[in-house]
Amino acid sequence: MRPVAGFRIPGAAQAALAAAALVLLALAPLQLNSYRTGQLTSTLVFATVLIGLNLATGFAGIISLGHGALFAMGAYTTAVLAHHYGWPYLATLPVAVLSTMALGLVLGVPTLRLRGLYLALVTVGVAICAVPFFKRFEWLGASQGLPTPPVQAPFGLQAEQWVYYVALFFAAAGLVLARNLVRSGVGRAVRAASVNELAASTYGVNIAWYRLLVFVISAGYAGLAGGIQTMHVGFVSPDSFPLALSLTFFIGVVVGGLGSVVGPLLGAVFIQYVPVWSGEIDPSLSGIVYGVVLIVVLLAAPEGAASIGPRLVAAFDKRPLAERAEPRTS
Amino acid sequence: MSLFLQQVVGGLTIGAVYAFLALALVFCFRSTGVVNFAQGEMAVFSTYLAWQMHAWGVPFFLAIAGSLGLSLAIGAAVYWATIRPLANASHLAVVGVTVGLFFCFNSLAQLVWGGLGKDFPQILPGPSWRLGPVVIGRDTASIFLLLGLTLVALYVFFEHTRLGLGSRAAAAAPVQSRQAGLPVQRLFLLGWGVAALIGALAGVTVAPELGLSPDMMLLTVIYAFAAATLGGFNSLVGAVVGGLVVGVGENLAGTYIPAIGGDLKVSVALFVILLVLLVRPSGLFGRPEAVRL
Amino acid sequence: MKLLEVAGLCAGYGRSEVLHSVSFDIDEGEIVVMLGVNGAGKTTTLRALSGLVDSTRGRIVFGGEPIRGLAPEAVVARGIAHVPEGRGTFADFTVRENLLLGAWFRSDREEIVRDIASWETFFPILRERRDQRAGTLSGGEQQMLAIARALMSRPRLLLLDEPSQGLAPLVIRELFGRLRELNRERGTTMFIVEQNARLSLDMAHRAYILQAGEVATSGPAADMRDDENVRRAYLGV
Repeated sequence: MRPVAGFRIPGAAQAALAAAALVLLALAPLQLNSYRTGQLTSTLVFATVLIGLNLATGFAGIISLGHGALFAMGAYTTAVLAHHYGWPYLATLPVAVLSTMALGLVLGVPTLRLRGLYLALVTVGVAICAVPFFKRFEWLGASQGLPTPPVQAPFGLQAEQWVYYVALFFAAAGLVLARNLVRSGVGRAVRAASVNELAASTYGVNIAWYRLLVFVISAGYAGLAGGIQTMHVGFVSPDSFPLALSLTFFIGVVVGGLGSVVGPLLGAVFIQYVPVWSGEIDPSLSGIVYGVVLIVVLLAAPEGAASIGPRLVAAFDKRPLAERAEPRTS
Repeated sequence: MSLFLQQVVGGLTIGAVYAFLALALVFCFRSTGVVNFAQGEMAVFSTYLAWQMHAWGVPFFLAIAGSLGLSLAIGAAVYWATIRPLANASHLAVVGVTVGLFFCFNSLAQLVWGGLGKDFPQILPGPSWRLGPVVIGRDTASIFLLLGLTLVALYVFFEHTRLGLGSRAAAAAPVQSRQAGLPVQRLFLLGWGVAALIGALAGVTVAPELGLSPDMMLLTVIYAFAAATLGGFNSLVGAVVGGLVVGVGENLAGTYIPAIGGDLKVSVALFVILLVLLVRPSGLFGRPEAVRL
Repeated sequence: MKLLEVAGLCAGYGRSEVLHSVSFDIDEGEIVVMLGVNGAGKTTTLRALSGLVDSTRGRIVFGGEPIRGLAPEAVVARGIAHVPEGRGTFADFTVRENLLLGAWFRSDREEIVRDIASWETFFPILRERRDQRAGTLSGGEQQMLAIARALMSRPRLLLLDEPSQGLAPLVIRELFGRLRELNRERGTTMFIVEQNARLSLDMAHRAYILQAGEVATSGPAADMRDDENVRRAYLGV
């Protein structure tokens, strides 16, 4: 997995941009109606999944087409705790994270030995099994699923707004965490290993262990997002988590830009809004439009939408290669 | 006992469907280095083309021939427009594009011909055959016949023709092949065209059995994938054997293991794959070459 | 008329130019060697000839016809065969399949079979390992396979990129001996880029020295080999 060619915005400017974005996002629900706020919430939930998936696929080279199942795990954990035991939603989130990480651990140990295509296939298997699995247990609501109690919003906010802020908080925190992880020793080791395993192993890097760690962390992200999703929609049902969802997540990271910080955010916007938009054009055309847009975006920016900015800058940069600062990652 | 045999035959039949699509997948991979997730949807689209021509009054076999020819062109065109530009990009971008193609072809079929199933004429019409306690339908027989013929033809192509050798080299080492003077782009064009043709052949063969609908091969591609992996993605024979094994295995599991109902059958297939891969990472028939993704 | 004439060739990768106006020529039947340290631009020169690297300026005339800008397939068809750095054998294919790939665009089946027999005689190891996967051959054997494969296209000019790389001195000696034999018996014209100055100057007729993307000096190989100043100044030997 090549990280996207980086264009380093100076740290201070980066922080300023992030702060501005955060302020805009924080004010959004106060301006938008409940439906639009809900869409944004959904986008933030997706973004959280994608940030985690990006760590696994973009940095560690683990191709997972099964993150929908992990997402479902988190969603169901929150639903069960809220429905059967009356837990407050925020309290369920850490449990959702832990349960999904445990699932990630269980799945990861036997399968992370596989590579590329084969690993993808096994994750597909996991994703396919999710729906039938959940349908089998009465305690999980079987085919109908479980309804969950309405959200109690504090500070006089509407429920929709409160959920939005929760999603925003965790997406932002998740982003910061991911960024720090990538730059840490662990992150460097994982990236080194994904580029050249043999070389990395000679440095004493236990690649298998690191891959598992990154996968489990990405599972945690998916679980967290799943829990927030349950808060958002108010129920869980097996049919909400088909294979298509896992594929959608995968498309999200690829389109957004693997190995970049901003990529998952762009990817989340893509997977949230393009289907909606193409459905608005003409419901029967929506599949074609989605497919065409996906293809066009990838042809225009094979390294993902996040690479467009740096590439434009590079195209206008007339200095010879040697003189330019050449950071390889963001 | 007769139930068991009938289940095995049923499993072999559905397995042959998987095997046929797996053949197209493996052929595409071996001759162009790309795994085409849209292989099944393109096959269904081609089958619709055949159906449409026949519905317009074209004699049946001519309609099939026409569809095969069109598929060759469509496969090549798709390669030229969407895959070739990504020659230097990461493989994941290519995978993403084939997923996009999946949506496009599926929706296109839905749009033009609607979601309801259509009847598709049998290739070899007539009564079924009895082999002892087992009944073999005409559809089953024609699937096996065409599958066998296609396998032999592709095998000869890869191992005993200049074009096949060139295709294999171009897919395995495109840069080197270019250096050695092989027209790599043209070989890939051919590869995608022929892969689409095989898919079309698979489609018209299985449509009488499954009934033609836009989602006819929706799950099949996953099974075909599993079959190809089981056989080792580089082996044509492996793809066929893999398909049959998957078909029989899941049928038997679905019949004799109560916990595994109709909807979890596919998990059996994938679980078996996982076991095989853990023991033999390059599949049953595969050689330990790198499978890129 | 020279077989190959190169004048003022500029080439590189993307925005970085590696060759700054390189000129040289090769006569039919010669062995010409281009020496230089790592990074001087030797591999780029060969790649520019083969069409694998874009050249921005200059002339490349082969057999009287300009070939700069042709696609690699077309260059091979004109009669230039390139043995790349690191051999470039098709590791997962058998020795025999490698040879067949070398003759891929030829249609004269009987002649191809005859050529295979001929090269198997010249390099007996190829007959021995005919059905073995090329990746299992030793470095020296792979180099001979790579050369034989290139020769299968019946080229008028053979380009070799650092054929001695990664080989033991004894093996290099044998390899260069065979190349010289090839040139003597069959008149195969060769253009070899090398880092190993001593052995290649023994074998070649003429030599060029490439330094930082430009031709620094040239002359008969024997003179270069015996001239201590040249050797010390350009080759650090």
